[in-house]
Amino acid sequence: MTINDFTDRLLAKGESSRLEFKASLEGKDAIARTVCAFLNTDGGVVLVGVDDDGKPNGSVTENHATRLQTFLRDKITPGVLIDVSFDHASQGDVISVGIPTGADRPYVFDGAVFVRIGGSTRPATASALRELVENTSQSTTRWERRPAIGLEIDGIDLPLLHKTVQRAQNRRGYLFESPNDSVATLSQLSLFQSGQLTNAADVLFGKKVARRHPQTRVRAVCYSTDRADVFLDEQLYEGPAFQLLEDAMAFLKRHLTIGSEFREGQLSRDSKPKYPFNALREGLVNALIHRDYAAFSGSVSVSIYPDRVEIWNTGKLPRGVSPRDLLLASHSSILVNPDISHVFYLHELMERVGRGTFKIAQECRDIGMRLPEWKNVGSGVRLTMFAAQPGTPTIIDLNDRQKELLDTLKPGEQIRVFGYVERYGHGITDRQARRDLSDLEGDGFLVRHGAGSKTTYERTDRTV
Amino acid sequence: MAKMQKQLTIMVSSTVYGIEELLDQVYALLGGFGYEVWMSHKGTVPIYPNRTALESCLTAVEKCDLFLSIITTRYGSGVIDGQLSITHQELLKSIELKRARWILAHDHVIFARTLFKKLGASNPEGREEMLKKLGYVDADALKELRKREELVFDDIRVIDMYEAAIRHDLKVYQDRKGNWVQKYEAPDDVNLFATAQFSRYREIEQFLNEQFANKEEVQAKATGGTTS
Repeated sequence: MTINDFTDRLLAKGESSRLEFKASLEGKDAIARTVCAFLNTDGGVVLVGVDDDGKPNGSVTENHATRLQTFLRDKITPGVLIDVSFDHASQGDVISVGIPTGADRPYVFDGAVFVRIGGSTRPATASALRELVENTSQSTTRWERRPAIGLEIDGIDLPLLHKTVQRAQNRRGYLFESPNDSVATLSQLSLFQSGQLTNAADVLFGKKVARRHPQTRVRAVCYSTDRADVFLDEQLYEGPAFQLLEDAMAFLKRHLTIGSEFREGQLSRDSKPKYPFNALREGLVNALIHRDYAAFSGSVSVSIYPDRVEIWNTGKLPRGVSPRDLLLASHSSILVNPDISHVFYLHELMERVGRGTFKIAQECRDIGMRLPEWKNVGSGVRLTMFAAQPGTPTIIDLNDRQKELLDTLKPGEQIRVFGYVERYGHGITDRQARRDLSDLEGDGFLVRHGAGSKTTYERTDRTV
Repeated sequence: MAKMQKQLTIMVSSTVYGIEELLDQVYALLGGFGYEVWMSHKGTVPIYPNRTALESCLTAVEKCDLFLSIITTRYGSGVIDGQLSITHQELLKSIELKRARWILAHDHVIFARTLFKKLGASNPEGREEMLKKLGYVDADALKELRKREELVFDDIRVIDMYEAAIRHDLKVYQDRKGNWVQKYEAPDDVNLFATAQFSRYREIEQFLNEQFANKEEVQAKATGGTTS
């Protein structure tokens, strides 16, 4: 499964309140209005170079994507992370614009505020504006935007900041007005406001951030048993977030065999469990950028058990997003810490908007692992990734009905319980049908949507 | 035949540096509520080719229906170095003309005024004197105050603006009218204030009508002279 498969899946879904097709870059004002509306509503994706029927029309190039990115960055205020990419879908090239739910509403394009009403983009009415502003103001100032008490410019890791600038310019095409001026750069990234560095600046670039914010530390433990009673190694890391990521990854590498780093032939001789490297990194990045930083008692912890890895962070899943939604190709993306996320994105450490968790799940499927689980646990969110055991391949015992379904249902297609009974069940009970489908879901062949009588099952890309 | 109602104009007066995105939001909000917005950041203040920039700005204060001032931590520039800034003069003009006005001031400005007052400097001269005692005697020393890395405000006269806004010049408290100044810290505070005060266009229109004692003047102002 690749990003381009992901785009194919979006094309197949058709337009909705969170997905819009635009035929070309000719109407880039219309694209910007829709992007603005998504920011002011629930986020979404705009696919450019696509006709209304979901067919790529070959009108866009990579150069168009760069131009569109610059246009949106210049014209939409306040500044926000908008992910513009050039994708090769199976039916042709498209530009994907990923838009999170905006945290600093109202967002403005061309002197006006736009919102999404159903599948349409409209200028906000006076009452819609009032609602938008009142809802935004109800939330207290984000922790990451508050002044970092005690942090001054000499406490910033300037070489790291300049490395970020270089990466953003060279690889993300991000333009800084004064790239050699540290204060101007930090201001442009919203990390320096009203003469003060923000907490986000401290988290990202503070040389001694843990002294001011002990909650930024990352704890990593490797246990020898499932009960977390005997540990083999324990480390406490502190420093700028990028450093924490590297430290935690080094810890994981030291204690785990990373699946993607294996060459063929090695796997059978190694008895250690196997994990996808990119999925682990993505899980750590998610923990660092989506965590709740406000509480001094908060943290990120990485726990290695014989059969699984758990990554825990303070915070909670966004309202309206269930653990199951995170496995899907399209779920709303709500950035808890937009300023921190933006810099991770510029540093090329963040997956594209709204696709990170899906990619984790897909990487696990690809190497035959059980699907990962996200769960609200206590005051935090726990991601569990289960090891794939080499030498003991998972035996998937499928009955004839299940085999027939997997042979005939294409990736992205959906089926309901009664449809399953009708097509494959040959007189079985609803209960048995549900058990069949649930087993297939557990093995990563299906993803469940909805609940009760409206439950549907979507075929994934996993093959037997 | 019904007379066409003239769109109410609101002038937004502020310095621009550092709050460009906020001004974009305020412009869009006020426009969305139905006003014609005059804002130098957006280039919508009427310019008169035969007048100076200052004169055009002050004329806009005279001609607008509503005046919204945002006192930021930046004082802004004057026509001649050392003179009052254009933003400061716009504020004073709106007070002189008794223009219907709404004013926001940044928390740093209000806090700094309180601190100076506690230390014994309760007027512009006292504050200047105190700065001199602290060694800020020439332009180079004052530059230190403006260092971006540690900026509280860039010119002590932002406090003078705030005092003008609260009508500190009127000694009898009961005489102080139109002296409400809303403190703000974050952009959300400004957006919320602008929304709470201006989102009900018809109510503002009615308020303005009631403010004009002379009904003929109200009529001329409201109709813009066009009929259909």
